[in-house]
Amino acid sequence: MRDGPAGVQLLAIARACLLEEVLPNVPPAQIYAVRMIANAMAIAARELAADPGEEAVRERIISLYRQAGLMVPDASQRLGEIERMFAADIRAGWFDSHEAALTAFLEWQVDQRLALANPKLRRPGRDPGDDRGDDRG
Amino acid sequence: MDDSAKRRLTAWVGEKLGEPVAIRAIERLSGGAIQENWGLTLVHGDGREAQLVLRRDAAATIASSRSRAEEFSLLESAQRQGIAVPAPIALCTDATILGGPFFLMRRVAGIADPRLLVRDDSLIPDRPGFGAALGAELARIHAIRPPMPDLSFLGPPDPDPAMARIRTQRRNLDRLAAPQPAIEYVLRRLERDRPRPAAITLIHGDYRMGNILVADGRIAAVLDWEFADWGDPDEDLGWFTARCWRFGREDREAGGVAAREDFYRGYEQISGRKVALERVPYWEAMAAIRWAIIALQQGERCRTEEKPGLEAALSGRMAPQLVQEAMARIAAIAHA
Repeated sequence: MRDGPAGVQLLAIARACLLEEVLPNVPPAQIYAVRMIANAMAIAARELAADPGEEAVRERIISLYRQAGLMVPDASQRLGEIERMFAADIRAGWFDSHEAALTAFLEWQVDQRLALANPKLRRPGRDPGDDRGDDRG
Repeated sequence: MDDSAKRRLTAWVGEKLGEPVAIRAIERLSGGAIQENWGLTLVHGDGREAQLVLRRDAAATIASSRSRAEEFSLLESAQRQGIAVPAPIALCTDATILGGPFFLMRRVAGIADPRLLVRDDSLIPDRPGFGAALGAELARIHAIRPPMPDLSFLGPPDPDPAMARIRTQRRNLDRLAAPQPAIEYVLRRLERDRPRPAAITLIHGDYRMGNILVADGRIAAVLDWEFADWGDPDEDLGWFTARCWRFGREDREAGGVAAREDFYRGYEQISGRKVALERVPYWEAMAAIRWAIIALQQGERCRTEEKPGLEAALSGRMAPQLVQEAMARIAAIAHA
């Protein structure tokens, strides 16, 4: 066990110091760089705190294969391998006639990534509190 | 650039211009991850000074970009067509001078920083007129049509430029470490819904703020011709108006600097061709996907770089918003 504070907290404290104490005294030419640093720290903190939710993604992809009547990928593979096959099958057109279910999943997945990378840009109607319930379903 | 390189360069320029010259100052200019730009002050025998830019490949060259020799020919063709470009002066393919090919062009004064140009109205006092000029300039580029003997290095035009673009994007995706199902979906839709090309013309390939130099509220030069090719002119129109190239001014749909209507008005006046509004979402979706893949490539490259830059490190994290944008534009195609 590490001594406190945890990495996420440490990042938050450092970021607050950067924005509140350092930024006001930074020459104009460096403001953009400081804002980028603060943004990088915020992304890293959100990613550290996030539940990877790998199981949920795996299940949802497999269920898309079932709905499309396609041969279901071996669920014991690494998620990266399943996603690679999934990407290739989308490219080959195997999901063309199941577009509604496919886009619902992809929009959800993009939104999950946006929640980490840039939460301000999430589309309205996506309450951050909904995430967990949604992906365990 | 060390002293012996400077000496070789000075001798080469003198020989090329047929008169003794001196190079007074030479400095690396900002920008250009793919190409290096150097500003230099040339002093002629009679004491006249000229401001030039030397452009050469950076250490890490992206394979898909044009060679310096090709870019030089493109500048010459564009200049003949009356397009605002930095005047090309001389090309050197002899690697013994600077270790690789380079060319010289006239240095044009102006501002290219899109963040300033979207924000500061004093830099562009007449935004409707500027928007129309941006459209008009693009129409002049699109007036260059195959075949063109000077541009024979572009090869024969592909009759299906949208599909050619999709193939390139898929090749780029295959080189990324992580699979991208959402991008694959957008590309699949772009494959199924691809339009017949409006025409086959020269396209700039990266026509956006950032590559437009502005002085006195006007276009001083169109820069960075390294992605030019034969293609569908609608692709350049979509690249310019794509949401991802508005630099925070979403309401000004033409590059963050002008209204979409003004941009199209200028384009239509010069090209004599009505902009096909129903094709706009298609090429804006393509633009977002192209940019998403570039962002992912930049993000991945950081992992192998010794001292990765923060901006490049963060760019991979821009991909989700670009994919979201592409999916929204794809949905608009269905309702078009």
